[in-house]
Amino acid sequence: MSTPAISVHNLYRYFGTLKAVNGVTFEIPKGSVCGFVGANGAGKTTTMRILASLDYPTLGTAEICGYNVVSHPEEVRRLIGWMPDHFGNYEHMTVVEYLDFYARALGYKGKERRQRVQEVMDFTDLGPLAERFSNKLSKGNTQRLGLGRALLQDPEVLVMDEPAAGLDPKARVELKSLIRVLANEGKTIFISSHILSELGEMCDSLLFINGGRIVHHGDAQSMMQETDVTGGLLYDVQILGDAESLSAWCLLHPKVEFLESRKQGGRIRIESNAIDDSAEILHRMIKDGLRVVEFHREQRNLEDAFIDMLGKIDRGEIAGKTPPQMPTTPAFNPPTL
Amino acid sequence: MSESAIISTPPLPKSATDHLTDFSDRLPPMLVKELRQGLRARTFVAVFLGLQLFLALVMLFATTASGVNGAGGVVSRIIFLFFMLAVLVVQPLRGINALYGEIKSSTIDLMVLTRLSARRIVFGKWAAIVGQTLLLFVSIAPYLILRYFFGGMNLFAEMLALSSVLILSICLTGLSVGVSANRAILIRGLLPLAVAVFFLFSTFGLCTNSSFEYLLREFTMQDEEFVAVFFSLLIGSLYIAWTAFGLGVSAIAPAAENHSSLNRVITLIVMALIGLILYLVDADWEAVPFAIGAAALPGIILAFGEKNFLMPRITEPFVRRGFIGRMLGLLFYPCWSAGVFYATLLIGIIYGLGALGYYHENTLGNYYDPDVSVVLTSLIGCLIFPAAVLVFFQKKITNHLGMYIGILAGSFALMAAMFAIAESTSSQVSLWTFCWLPPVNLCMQGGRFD
Repeated sequence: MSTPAISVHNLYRYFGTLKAVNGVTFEIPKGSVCGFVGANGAGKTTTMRILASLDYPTLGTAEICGYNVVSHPEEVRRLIGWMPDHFGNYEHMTVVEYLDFYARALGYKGKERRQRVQEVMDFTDLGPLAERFSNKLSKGNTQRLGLGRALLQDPEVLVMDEPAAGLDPKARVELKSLIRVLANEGKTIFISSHILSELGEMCDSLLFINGGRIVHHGDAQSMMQETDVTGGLLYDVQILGDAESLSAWCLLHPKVEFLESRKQGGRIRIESNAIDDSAEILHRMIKDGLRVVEFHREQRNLEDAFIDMLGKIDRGEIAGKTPPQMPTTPAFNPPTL
Repeated sequence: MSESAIISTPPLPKSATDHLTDFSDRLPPMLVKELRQGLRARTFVAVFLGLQLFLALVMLFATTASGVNGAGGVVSRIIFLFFMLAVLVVQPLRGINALYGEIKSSTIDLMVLTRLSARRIVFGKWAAIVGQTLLLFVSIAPYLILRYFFGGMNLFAEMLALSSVLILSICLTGLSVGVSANRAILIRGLLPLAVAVFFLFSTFGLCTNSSFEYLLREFTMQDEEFVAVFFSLLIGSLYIAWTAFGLGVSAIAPAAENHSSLNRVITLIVMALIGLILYLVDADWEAVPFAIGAAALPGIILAFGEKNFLMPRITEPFVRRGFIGRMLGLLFYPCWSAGVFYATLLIGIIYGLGALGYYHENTLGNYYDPDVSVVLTSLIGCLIFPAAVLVFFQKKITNHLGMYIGILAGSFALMAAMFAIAESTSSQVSLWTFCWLPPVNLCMQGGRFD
């Protein structure tokens, strides 16, 4: 069996009393795309920073292609491309000079350096912006510049922390297509995002972290099945007139649950999986005076799974794998002092 | 192919990467980056052009008044005044946010992930500002030649004086860049600012004072005493700049890198060198612990300001060397506890020298002022007091050095306030109330309030 691209074992990171990462264990095989999902403050960025050798674990091990991030940071840094959620750009420095600086810093020289910068600019389509100052770029172009910088050393593993955050839909689609190309080239991509539908489309597996602990690791389908506690069928219902009347109607019918309001109606769940029951519900709506203009079935999506997962955690139905008790002795105290 | 076809062929589009040959591959990447940014920075362009414009105007007026007695001296003063303001005040202040800016915008993480070491990053920041300072220095050379035309000028002495200013500027830039990594504004901002304000007033004072010509004459290096002072100041400036430089490197280096041990060894070497010089010039024994203590001061402050954790990768090289390595580790591990041991060693050396001096002078039957040990104890108390306070807040503090210097500065500010109250009320009550505070105690050693 080949060495996994990313291997994390019983990883802990405490900041004082805050348990940012609390006994995380997972592996990501080479050449796969893994989405890292979790609420704000769940421990995503801390885990990713440790993987990028920018932070150190309080306890546990993290390896990139078999190299420990603490004991072999130089090797790890040669293998990894890191794209943080936020990074500042330099004043008085053009896009091409920005990439050139990092190419120099990575050890590229002469023609090879210029060629590498050109390749990255071509890939990220930054050519037309080459002479623009890097701190004057739009958010989307800044992210492309960040991706370009991360790709300069042709990394085997790409760790991307919220790369789509703050991007407009067009820039998001462009970024997604770039990530797809990289995935097709066989790079291992570890990506965190709040846009779960996009992660579902891109990723081979999803890693769900909550309160510093992994609560799910598997593909999107298994996550949706695992979290589907109530079953039933989902429908988008559009009506004419008062949209509130739909939620009021649902309250009177115990087999129908009103999930969320939408512009002209809402999203409902019908408890039964039988299609006949759905037809009966529609019939009753019309009979009760709701002026239904649209009634169509919807698939359960990752956002639903995410919400259900949080609900399960709140109810204590999912606790994540119980991590081993962290030793009370701090990991980095020297043995002789 | 016809001629018209050749003419009508559009030129090949110029690649965006074509101009990336503007700086050689031999230059450090950080230097290239900083020069590209710095040479476009408004501050530098304004200083450079302003200096040129002003000196050109001065020369123009001086030429018209060339017959007037002492015109050359006035020109020298003006050249020195503006050059010193530019390189001792403006240029070092440009390094004030050099590293913190990178830390704040998270770009330091991106740099750390490349092959740039922390030392190369700090060096690049420093070298870029120094490079621009050199450019300013070179640009005033034509005015010096013109100044020579007016006569009454010792070219060697003035060039040496200007070079000394340049070296001082290089050290001050090292100081401001080095401390710019610290999160505490007290260190990062106020320290370089205080130094700049000091040099601002010193520059004006020096260039408008009647002793200016006398000082310039000293740069002919005829007076041995002046030579000794000159080189002592030079070594002191370089040492302080190096210490601050090391501070910057430690602050941005990954936790698995050890930069403190080397600095501690250098402090010991500097102390030994100063001890050797004092021995060779047969210095007064009473001055020895103070001179050695001055050299140890940065080392003690940095040791007390160390963070309180260690990574196995740092302890490994020490532990591998067995018992001796472990013992050395007790002094040289880059952590707070080892820092305390190291500072204790330095304090022990200072006290030891004081005791040795007392014993030596007594043996020879010479007078040795007993107040030396009292003042020495108060001075050392001033350094230990903030460290003792820090012990109580150990777990809550993340910026040990900032906190240490903050308490140190605060205790001296309190001393100044109590002294002022005592002066204005002609009463010692305020001083006696705080006599337990080492700086106040030190102030009371002056003999004024005994």
